[in-house]
Amino acid sequence: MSDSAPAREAWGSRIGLILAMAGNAVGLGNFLRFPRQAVENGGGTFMIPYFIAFLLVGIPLMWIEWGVGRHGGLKGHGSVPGMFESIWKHPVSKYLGVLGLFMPVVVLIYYCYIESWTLAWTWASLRGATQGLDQAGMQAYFRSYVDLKNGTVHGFWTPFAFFFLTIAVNFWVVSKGLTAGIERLAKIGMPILFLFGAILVVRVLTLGVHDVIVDGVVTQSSPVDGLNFMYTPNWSLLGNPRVWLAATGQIFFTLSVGMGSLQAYASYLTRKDDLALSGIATAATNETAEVVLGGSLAIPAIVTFFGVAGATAIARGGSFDLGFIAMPLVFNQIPGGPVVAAAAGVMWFGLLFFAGITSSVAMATPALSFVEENFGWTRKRTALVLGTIATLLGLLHLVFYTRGFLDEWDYWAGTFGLVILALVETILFVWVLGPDNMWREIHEGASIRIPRFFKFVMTYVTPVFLLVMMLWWTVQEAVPTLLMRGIPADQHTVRWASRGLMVGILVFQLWLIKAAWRRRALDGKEVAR
Amino acid sequence: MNPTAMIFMAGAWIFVLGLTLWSFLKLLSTEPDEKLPPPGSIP
Repeated sequence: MSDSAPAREAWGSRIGLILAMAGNAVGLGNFLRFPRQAVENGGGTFMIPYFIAFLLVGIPLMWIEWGVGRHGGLKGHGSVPGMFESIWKHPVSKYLGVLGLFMPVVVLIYYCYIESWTLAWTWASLRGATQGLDQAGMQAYFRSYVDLKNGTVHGFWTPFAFFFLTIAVNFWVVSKGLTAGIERLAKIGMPILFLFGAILVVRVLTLGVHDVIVDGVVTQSSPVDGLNFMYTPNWSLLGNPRVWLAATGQIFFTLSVGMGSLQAYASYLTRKDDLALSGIATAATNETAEVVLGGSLAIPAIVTFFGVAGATAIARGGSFDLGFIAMPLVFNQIPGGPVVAAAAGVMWFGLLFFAGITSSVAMATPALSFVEENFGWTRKRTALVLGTIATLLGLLHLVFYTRGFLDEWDYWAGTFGLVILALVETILFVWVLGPDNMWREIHEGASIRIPRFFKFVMTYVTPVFLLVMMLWWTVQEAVPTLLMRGIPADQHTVRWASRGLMVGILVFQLWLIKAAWRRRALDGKEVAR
Repeated sequence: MNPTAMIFMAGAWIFVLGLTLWSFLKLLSTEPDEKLPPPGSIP
């Protein structure tokens, strides 16, 4: 195929493209994962490897993914299998690209389930359902929601209802197409997200001093203590490789690289479109949401009402405890009564919902594009079928959440798999296409000239960083996770079933790729006749 | 606020807000059709 591939949809405006790309990157992790990572990895010291990784891995990968996407899109490919083949003319390349279908589909399914919690908690905040609950009550409220056997608080069907609603909204948006669906959602959702975030940051930072009771002793705490907790450097950790890898990992997750969705969005760019400056604008918008908003909300608010010791204990419980248990408790204690508590809850869970949905619609895009382009299905039909599959598979997460079903998908597809795809695409785009061609490709239509230093970084530093990260994770995490070290024995069966299903999805997608290429070959013969 | 923490926080905020502001101002000042020629195309 050449650049004269069948006409594809195009982004309606440059700002719409950047908001959609930034919406893809800004997710729940910006507000829940980042603050935890920062406090667990040296506070202010964490910001040094974090920003170095942003410059050496984050921004280069942004350009690489935008470049891979546009390069493939110009040849008529909206998903990674075809994009890889357009770079590397080898029969294996399209099968390597299965990662760019597998990861977004798998992550999309469980991500929609978590996204449905934000919708449920927005509704709960609106009707004041979490008001008046103490810490034990709030924990019971959360546990009851995620454990279907314990539906005493919410009722058995409530989690199902919110999950179905979330899936329906997601697939309704993507069925409307690129400009009328995804771009419009980004133009509405992203300003609301930043508005809600800014209001909450101002409120949290002006909370003042509050009494905190720790082990029967009354002490005083304020948002400033939270910021000190977040940013005071622990220099002894700066030489620790674990901190550097945690920082690189955070940059990786926050920018949504290695997923296949950025490439799918970039495939709608034309040769005249800029990707150098737009890539930076997207990454910078995401960083503003993460550092300025994410870093100033959960930790300072929780420290104000629970003290540093309390916040540490909550953070140790996980990101969901931070967002769904501790934050509603904070809102209950904000001065202003039930109305302010409800408004704060709606804004917090509302911003999480918009952060989530602008990412999940991006995850749906590669699979939709793949089916539409290779099997000739309409977007509406594809959205309906994929939405049905996502609903059915998502039900397994609802039923087996407490037994580690979701954790398996999150680790293998949502964590480890991302590094593999990023490494493969970097090798293909930089080394197989060639550093000079790569450099020319990302400068096509560029509004800025990227400093030449980044050519060296993208050619040598980024791949080495990714390789080290993959090897480290393989030894430190992947092997113990595979062997289920530390996992209760009663979860093993469900977790193996979860892995089996992932393998099934992967095999099915490989078969789809094979079928798609066979269909292309037949179509080619038809045309030749 | 602890001065070291303040330096780190201010540094982080200035970096991300500065980069965001710079990139958006640059985007707004560049017309979509007004592009630099590809590298190597100017003799």
